[in-house]
Amino acid sequence: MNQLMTEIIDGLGVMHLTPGNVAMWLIAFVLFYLAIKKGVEPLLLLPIGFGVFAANFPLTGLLEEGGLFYIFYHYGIENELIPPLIFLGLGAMTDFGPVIANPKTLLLGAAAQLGVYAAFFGALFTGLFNVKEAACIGIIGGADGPTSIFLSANLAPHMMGAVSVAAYSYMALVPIIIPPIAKALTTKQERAMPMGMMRMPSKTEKIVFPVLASIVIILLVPKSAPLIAMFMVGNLFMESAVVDRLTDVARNALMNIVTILLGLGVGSTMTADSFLNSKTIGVFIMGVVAFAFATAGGVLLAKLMNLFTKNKVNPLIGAAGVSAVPMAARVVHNMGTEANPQNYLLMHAMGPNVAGVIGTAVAAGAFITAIL
Amino acid sequence: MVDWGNATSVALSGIISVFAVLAVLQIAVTVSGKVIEGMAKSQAEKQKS
Repeated sequence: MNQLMTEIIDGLGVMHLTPGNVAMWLIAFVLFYLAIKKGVEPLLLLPIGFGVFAANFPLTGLLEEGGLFYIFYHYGIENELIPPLIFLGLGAMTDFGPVIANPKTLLLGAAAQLGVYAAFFGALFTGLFNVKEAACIGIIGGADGPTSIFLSANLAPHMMGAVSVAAYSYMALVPIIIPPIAKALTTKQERAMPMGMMRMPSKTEKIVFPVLASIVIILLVPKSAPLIAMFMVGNLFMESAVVDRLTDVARNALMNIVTILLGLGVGSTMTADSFLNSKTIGVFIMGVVAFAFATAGGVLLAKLMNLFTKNKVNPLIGAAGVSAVPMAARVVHNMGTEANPQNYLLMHAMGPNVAGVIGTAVAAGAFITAIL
Repeated sequence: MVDWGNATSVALSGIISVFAVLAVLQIAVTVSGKVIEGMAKSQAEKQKS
């Protein structure tokens, strides 16, 4: 009888609850608050938050081999399935028209990746991280959640929770992070610089772009193929306009399903042991560094380009190179309008904005090639 | 202990890759745009004549 009582009591989850579990619940509640009350990336932070919450109940078996969250994580994220599927949906929603109309904005997307490498070195200087971990922290500067998760799954799976939460949280803070840096690096005259009407690319150009981009990018950085190939096929679905059903599924139903699995899978990696340590604080600090340098890189290259080119660009659009589509472009547009009410920078800023997504995927592929 | 030589080569190869890829893509998009535009113009002229 005594033994039976001991077994019953021992089987109660509450008997195995640790202070670490409770601390992780509090973090989950913060994520719920940010997502529900503040509207911070709710599509991701809400499932991630619940993943954190559920993963920190004792004795559930959710994270053990064969457990539900283990299956989400192992087959969806560790095997690199879900981030490319998210890219498929993103491709089916992305208009590359601004990049095709003004191809030099691709270089602004490249310049914004300087933040990735600044944070990479910053993380190494702290002495807390090795090269693989520093690469995952650096990629936060790309402001691209799926790419951050993709790279973490490849290089440092134990960092995935902190890296992805930092990436999605800072993406939502783009309206706070970009303006002071962009203002500090530009004069009012530069911010007020108007940009002419953008030409409208033909349908043929839009159909050719995903094929051309796949050839160039995958031939030069083959390890970026999972992300780039899916991004471009999604875009080809949309631009060809002959597979509306596939386009619709890619950007709606499939995107929503994989977002749920991604959020829960990533959240489930955030157990007390893996999250409550000094490295997590380092990830969040370096994430801001990454965003700041990414913004600065884009703005400074735009100013440099203006010294050598005839068709000058408003340097503010360089700040939109920090992906975070389309929020970064909107922030840049608002700053331009503030400096000159006649300014309409939104479509011009979308060029570096989508180029930043490509640039971050290439940076992730380059890290995998160089490190693995 | 960080291997700074390795870290520098990782960063340099990454920066070069990102800029090289996007610069080549910029050239490819510019050239393909001109070719497609030229083809569209000559087709329009043919139809006129």
